[in-house]
Amino acid sequence: MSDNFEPKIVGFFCNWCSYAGADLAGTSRLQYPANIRIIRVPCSGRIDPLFICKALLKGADGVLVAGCHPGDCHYSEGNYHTRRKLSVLKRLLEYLGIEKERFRVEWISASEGGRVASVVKEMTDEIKKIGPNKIKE
Amino acid sequence: MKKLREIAKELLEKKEVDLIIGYEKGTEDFWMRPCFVDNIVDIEKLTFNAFCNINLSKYILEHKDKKVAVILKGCDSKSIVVFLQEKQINKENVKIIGVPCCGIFDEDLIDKTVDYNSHPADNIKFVRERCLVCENHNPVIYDILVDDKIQEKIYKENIYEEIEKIEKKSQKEKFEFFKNVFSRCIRCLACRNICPVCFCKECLIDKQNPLWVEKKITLSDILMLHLIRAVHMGGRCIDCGGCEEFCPAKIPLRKIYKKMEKDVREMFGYVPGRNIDIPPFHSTFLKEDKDEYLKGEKGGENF
Amino acid sequence: MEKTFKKEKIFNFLEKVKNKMILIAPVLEDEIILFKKIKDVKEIDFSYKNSLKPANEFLFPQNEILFKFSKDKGKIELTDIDLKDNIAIFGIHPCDVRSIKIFDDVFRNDCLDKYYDERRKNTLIISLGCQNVDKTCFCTTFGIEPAESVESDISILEINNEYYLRSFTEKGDSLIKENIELFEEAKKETLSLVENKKKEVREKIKEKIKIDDVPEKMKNLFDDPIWQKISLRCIGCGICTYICPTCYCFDIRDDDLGKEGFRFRCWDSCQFADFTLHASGHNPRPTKKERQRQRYNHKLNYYPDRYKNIACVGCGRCVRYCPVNIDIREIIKEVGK
Repeated sequence: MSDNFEPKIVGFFCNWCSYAGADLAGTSRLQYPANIRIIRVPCSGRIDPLFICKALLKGADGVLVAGCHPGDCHYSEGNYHTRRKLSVLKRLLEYLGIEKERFRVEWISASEGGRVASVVKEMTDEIKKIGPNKIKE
Repeated sequence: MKKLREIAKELLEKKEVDLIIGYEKGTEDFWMRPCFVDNIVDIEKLTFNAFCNINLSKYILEHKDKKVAVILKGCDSKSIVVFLQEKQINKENVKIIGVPCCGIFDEDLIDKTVDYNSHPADNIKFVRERCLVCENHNPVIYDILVDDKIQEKIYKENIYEEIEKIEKKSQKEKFEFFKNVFSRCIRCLACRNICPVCFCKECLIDKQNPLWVEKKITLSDILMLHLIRAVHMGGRCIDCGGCEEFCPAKIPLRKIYKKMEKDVREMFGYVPGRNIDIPPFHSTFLKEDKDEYLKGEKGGENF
Repeated sequence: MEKTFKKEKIFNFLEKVKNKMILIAPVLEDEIILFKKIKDVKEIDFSYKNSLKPANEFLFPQNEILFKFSKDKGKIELTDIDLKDNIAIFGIHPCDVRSIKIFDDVFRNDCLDKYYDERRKNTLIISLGCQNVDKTCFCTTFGIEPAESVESDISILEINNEYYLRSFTEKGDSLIKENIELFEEAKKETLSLVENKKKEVREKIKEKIKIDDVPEKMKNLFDDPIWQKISLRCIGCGICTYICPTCYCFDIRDDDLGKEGFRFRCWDSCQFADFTLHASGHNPRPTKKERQRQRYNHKLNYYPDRYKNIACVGCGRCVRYCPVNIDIREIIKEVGK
């Protein structure tokens, strides 16, 4: 792919863990690519699988969903539901021919600022390699 | 189908039901269509044969104010299990007349040797693709059975063979396949309307506020509406085959919903339409659910 | 003009047409016949019975951009759409050609639809007579000749390894004159063979239903129980309306992409539950009974009142594709009783 391609990645970060983790990355002055646009949700369980579908079909090159580690959800059970819903979705999207790098789910806690930076950097690099999303018309 | 008519007559005479939903002959050979009988005279129209393809279970949702009896084959009866799990019907008002079924013929495959009395078990090559992977010849829930139960026998060795064929393709080939197939979609939404587990009063596809999908026929809009369907009924689909059979553009929709059935079975051990007492897989969870499924090939590496 | 030409020459003719304008013709794809823009004339299907979508979708597309808009610093700019492309629709059957005439009445009336009108002016219709008919065809009920369409610009019919060609309009005449070297003058024997062929195909149609008194009779059937009876099994999908060549209900919507967007027209269906939903929440056609009643009254009663012809061409698509066998032929016969 051309060197000028800058992927647009949409991030859904849960307020209590991953968003706080992203804040920590910021205050620790850890650099990560600006390709990600983060949307704060109260819990990863709020995420309707259709958000991810809509983002990908409207032209996002990748979607990253980040939530609390299982067992540590601020609302006790939200991320267990996320796990179920998004496991099914991940397999469905890969089956339909959407590259597996485009949709990623990570468990990131509020103290893992470094992981936010490394996951976003890794995902941006992978998507740069595979090129832009071909579905958007 | 003498026994069927006797059962129907008795139900109406004893006023156990107000309406019977069954099948009658249509306007062309081998076309069977739904039939609604509320009096003794019309009972003569009711019949059943190996061409009765449509799933009648969804009609009971439109007659909740009455006591109805409905004629259901093995696959169709699984929708009643889903209705009961999701609290859509009052079972006291529904009488299920179950028909053990060994297959339904596909009108496009049959030749001149087949007629209304032909037996599917003797003519497997004329039977619809959906019937070859049937795991429930006998109704899973019923009040009256029209015939003796038949032996459960799955015609195809690997029920997920078609799905695995697609899974083996490369990512580019998969995308090309689905892109090709969905570009024919005309958005008639027959797949949604015929589906027994698609019963929302206001469908997200029609909803204007917020607008989930615009009324365009570009690939992204067509895929969005099919993904809305897939996400909402994947893992609840009981594989009645209606969506694929009645799609005018012959889109192989079952390949998507069967894939989700395979995944849900593998990941959570859940098969829709079997057990009323188990909650649907999407409304519950286990702490032991594996993260591997979520990560794809990477497994739990990133912890 | 009446001409004949050898069967193989059809590809030369179509190549020449394709070089001059956009050629639309039926193509077989995965067991479905679709009308598409042709790149290679050899992929055209000559023996099909019925296409999925009617050919007049090129005059009234499922999605049609009306104009584009863009916003910049508080100013809005509108851009018109260019509809100057010349297209030729080849291989369309007489039933679908009649449906174009029905659309002409609706869209080119006292309230002129400029989008349809522009496309129509730039369209040449080369119809292909049917050789085989489907069990659901009943075009003869509406006075349509299955083997020859007098309403097209040029009508082509295959007879004994030759094609018989007849033009009915100036547009058709001039296309033939431009390619005169491909054709021969039609001989007398050929003309009588054509008449025989037309009769042969006409007789293949299963039945010709008596239809003259149906519009009158329908006026007294508004409260008849027939509509409730049919609607019991209707599932409320949009198949019958979307594949019908005479259905023309549409919706107009805006696709706003932020700084720019476009206004477009899209097909809508009177069978969808929210078709007549008012902003107040009231719906004058709340159940399937009212919607089914509306559909058949429109085609067989209201439309003939206004435009003389019945809004059905007997193509049989709705009969074949309806999942629950709601058959317009059955309804016409019921009403006619």
